[in-house]
Amino acid sequence: MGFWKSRRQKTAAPPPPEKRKGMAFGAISDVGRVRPTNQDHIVALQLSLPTPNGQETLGFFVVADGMGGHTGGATASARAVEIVTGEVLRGLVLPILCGDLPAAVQDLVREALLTANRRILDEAARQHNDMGTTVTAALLLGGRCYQAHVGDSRLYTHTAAGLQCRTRDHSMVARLLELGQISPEEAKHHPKRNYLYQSVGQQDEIEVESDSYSLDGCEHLLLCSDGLWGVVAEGAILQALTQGGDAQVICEQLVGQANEAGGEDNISVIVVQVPQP
Amino acid sequence: MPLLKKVGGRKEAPPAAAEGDAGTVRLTGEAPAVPARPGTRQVQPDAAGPAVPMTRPMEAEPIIGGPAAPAKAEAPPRAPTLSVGAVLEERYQIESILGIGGMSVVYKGRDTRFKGVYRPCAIKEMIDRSPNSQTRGITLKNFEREASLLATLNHPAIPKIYDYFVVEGRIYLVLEFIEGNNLEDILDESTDALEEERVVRWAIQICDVLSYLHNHKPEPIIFRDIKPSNVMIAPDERIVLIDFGIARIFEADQKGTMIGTEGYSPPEQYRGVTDPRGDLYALGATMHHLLTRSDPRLETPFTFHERPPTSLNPHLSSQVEAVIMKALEYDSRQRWASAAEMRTALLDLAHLDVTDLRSGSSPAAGPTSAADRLLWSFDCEEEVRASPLVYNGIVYVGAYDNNLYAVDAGAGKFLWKFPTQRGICSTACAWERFVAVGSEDGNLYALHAQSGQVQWTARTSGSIRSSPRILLDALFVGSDDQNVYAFDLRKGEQLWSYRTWGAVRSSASNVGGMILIGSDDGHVYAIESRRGEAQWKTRTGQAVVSSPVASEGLIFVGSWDAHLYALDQRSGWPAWKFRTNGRVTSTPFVYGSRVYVGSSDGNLYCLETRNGKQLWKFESGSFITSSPQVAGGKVYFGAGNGRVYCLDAESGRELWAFQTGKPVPGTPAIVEGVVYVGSMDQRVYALRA
Repeated sequence: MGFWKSRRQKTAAPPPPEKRKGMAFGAISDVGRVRPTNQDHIVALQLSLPTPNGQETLGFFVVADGMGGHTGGATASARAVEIVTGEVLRGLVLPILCGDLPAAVQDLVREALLTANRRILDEAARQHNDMGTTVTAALLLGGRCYQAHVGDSRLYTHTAAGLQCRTRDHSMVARLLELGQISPEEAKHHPKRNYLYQSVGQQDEIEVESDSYSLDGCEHLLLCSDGLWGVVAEGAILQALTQGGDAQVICEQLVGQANEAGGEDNISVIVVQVPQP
Repeated sequence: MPLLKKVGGRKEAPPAAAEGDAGTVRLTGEAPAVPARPGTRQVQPDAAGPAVPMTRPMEAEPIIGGPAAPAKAEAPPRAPTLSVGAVLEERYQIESILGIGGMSVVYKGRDTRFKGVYRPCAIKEMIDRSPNSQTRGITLKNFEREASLLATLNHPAIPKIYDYFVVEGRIYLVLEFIEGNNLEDILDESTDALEEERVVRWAIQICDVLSYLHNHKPEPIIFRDIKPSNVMIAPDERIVLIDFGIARIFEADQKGTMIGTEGYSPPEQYRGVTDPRGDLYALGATMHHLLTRSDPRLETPFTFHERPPTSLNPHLSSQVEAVIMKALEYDSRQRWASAAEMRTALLDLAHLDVTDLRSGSSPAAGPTSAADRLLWSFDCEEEVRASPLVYNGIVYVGAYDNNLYAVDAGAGKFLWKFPTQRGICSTACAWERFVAVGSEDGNLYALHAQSGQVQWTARTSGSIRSSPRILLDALFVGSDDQNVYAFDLRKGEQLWSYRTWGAVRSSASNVGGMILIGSDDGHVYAIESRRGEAQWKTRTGQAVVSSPVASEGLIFVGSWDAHLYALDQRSGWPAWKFRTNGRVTSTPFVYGSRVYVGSSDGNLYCLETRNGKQLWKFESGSFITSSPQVAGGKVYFGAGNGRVYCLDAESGRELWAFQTGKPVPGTPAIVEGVVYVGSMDQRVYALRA
């Protein structure tokens, strides 16, 4: 599939310069204060590509939180970010550079997670272990965010209206909360709060949840593992984003807060400053 | 879906120590009899062993382990301790092993006290060498509870208990041996969903035994774990509930242990609430599984309402669906009030001939109900392929007899007709006192809506099959001359034209100051509406005859390359595409978070707008070029088999179908409870919606 903007479009008057802001990101994956190893893996990419529409900025961000005894979790999350990133480079970036027809973006990201699931499942079977991982991936292109996720690593959008969680945790506790069967307070202490009903690498069939939305009015995206959202309140996350400034500094602040709260889990955060047209 | 435990949760030990968590029984010093399935961390072990009575290991699959809950069955199933031929209590001879679970083994035995008579029995053995004395105590308590409970019960669907004793620290239950298979095995062995009639007959029997348990005195007994593997079917189709290990005496308003099986257990059970209506939920979940083959353990928890049985198995009756869905209500107060009430509802179904219940027979297509459905029909002199427009009480519709007809919407009375030079398949549009329509003669005509007198005429160099659309003071239409035109609404003067590389039969839609339209050159174009300049265009594999529809930043459009596309409104980048097995000429219809579209593969599809996931499809058996229209929770469309269909927009279940004499390629208009639609049988129909 090809597409382009007319030349005339590109000569349109630019918006007032003071409002313009490019894409920028910060990313940290921290072991925390209790665990011996970090089983999280993250990838953040920003590319500028020549497309038929003109030069386009593409952002791609992944958070994977591994699970499984010993080193399995770390292996699964490492493989997941590698496979998912590879699929996006092969299915979208290289076709754009070669002038080939790129795939439908949301389908591509979702299928990348399915591919990761199949391959990790195969590897786990060969190694006789039960490794698995959460994966939350976001691709930014043409003013839109395309996301896909499995598990409970979250993606938030930050607008003037506040913080919005764009992912749904695939945990039994989240389902019970959604249905109003338990209160948020009960959820914090529920005996099954760590149980996911799906993950990447542990089941033959998973349902990758995917979505896309316009980034108009969106100032930041934040991707994180439960090492952040489980201990740092959304109000505090919002405050850090609202203060603004360098995305990497925001990440450092948030990781610092999670460690101050005990740092019992690995903490991964990616903050993306969304380009304003 | 089995829950996957996230090792490394916040309150847990570091991963190196996380082989099992608190409450998991450790079985040291014994090799697992059945290896854990590689690569899968499952809270629930696979059903062990052959299909047997009482095969279900006693504590297998409790869902939630509270502090005092039985252990999660992550431990490997234990090895049997008795070999074939061994004799217990000088009476029960072991014949074979029926099943092995995490905490118990079930043998088939023979009671040798009855000489000359072969009297089989099931012997359940519990051994717990758990190092955790608390766990051991709970397991023992469960076993004793099962024994005492069974001893007090007397019902043909509950296995009889013959004996209970302890040998060398191992506890044994001797139970009635039940010949047959459990429902999970029966489902596994079948290739299709099980027969509705058969499932209803089993469900009636299950309601019967549940009613017995729930009316137990002095307190009701809640089974708490109805699921296919806990229901045995004897050769005479009699059902027997097995495994009373977690059944409990109901204590009103008391929170109990959270227990049950993922996928089948009701939501309140996760709060520790046990209620007789929880068993009805689990029965509903079991019936749903048997009739759809959709395993609730593999689905997002508590999503039955998103997967109504008829959407997964169109052969099911709506009546059985209603009974199941009522049992599956989240709120237990909305469910059947009692097992007896559910049983009565099922009995009503069983008395009906199931073949009469099938929705596919479309009873409304019969002559009697068709007469009720039809308000009027209006005869044209040639095929009607165009879609009617209803405006101020008048139906405007073009025909291949070259005329645009104006017909009174209430009575179907002829008002006027306007002759063009060739056929009309374009749909009219209206504003103020005027209507406009394109003709294959290449002209766009603006007429007085009341009289049909010509206001102005605009010319293009090819047939007009695209339907004109209005935005502010301009009218946009495509032509077979490959151009998209903008005409001034008042005078018909051309404002601009935009050249594509194929005939433009798609109709424009406008969003954010852009005109979106498809072309036979395979592209979808976004054209700035004032100046006629392309903002972007996106190529699909083949002609785009379908008309783009915008919703929440996405553009939905069909292509003859068999896909429905969702494109980013701003850039035209494809977000997702959905593949059908035929050309998609039909214009999609967006309703809430769903998009509906027809395909020449004969299906009407209902997809989620945000990701293109198919929610259901309806097989008409004949091409669908008509665009679905949704009104009042129902979706209407025509098909190549001459039928006008009305489906439930939520589930895709057929509500009625009306048979016309020839294919219905056009789109119905639904206004004030009336469906207006044309057919190639030369008629325009007004049907009661």
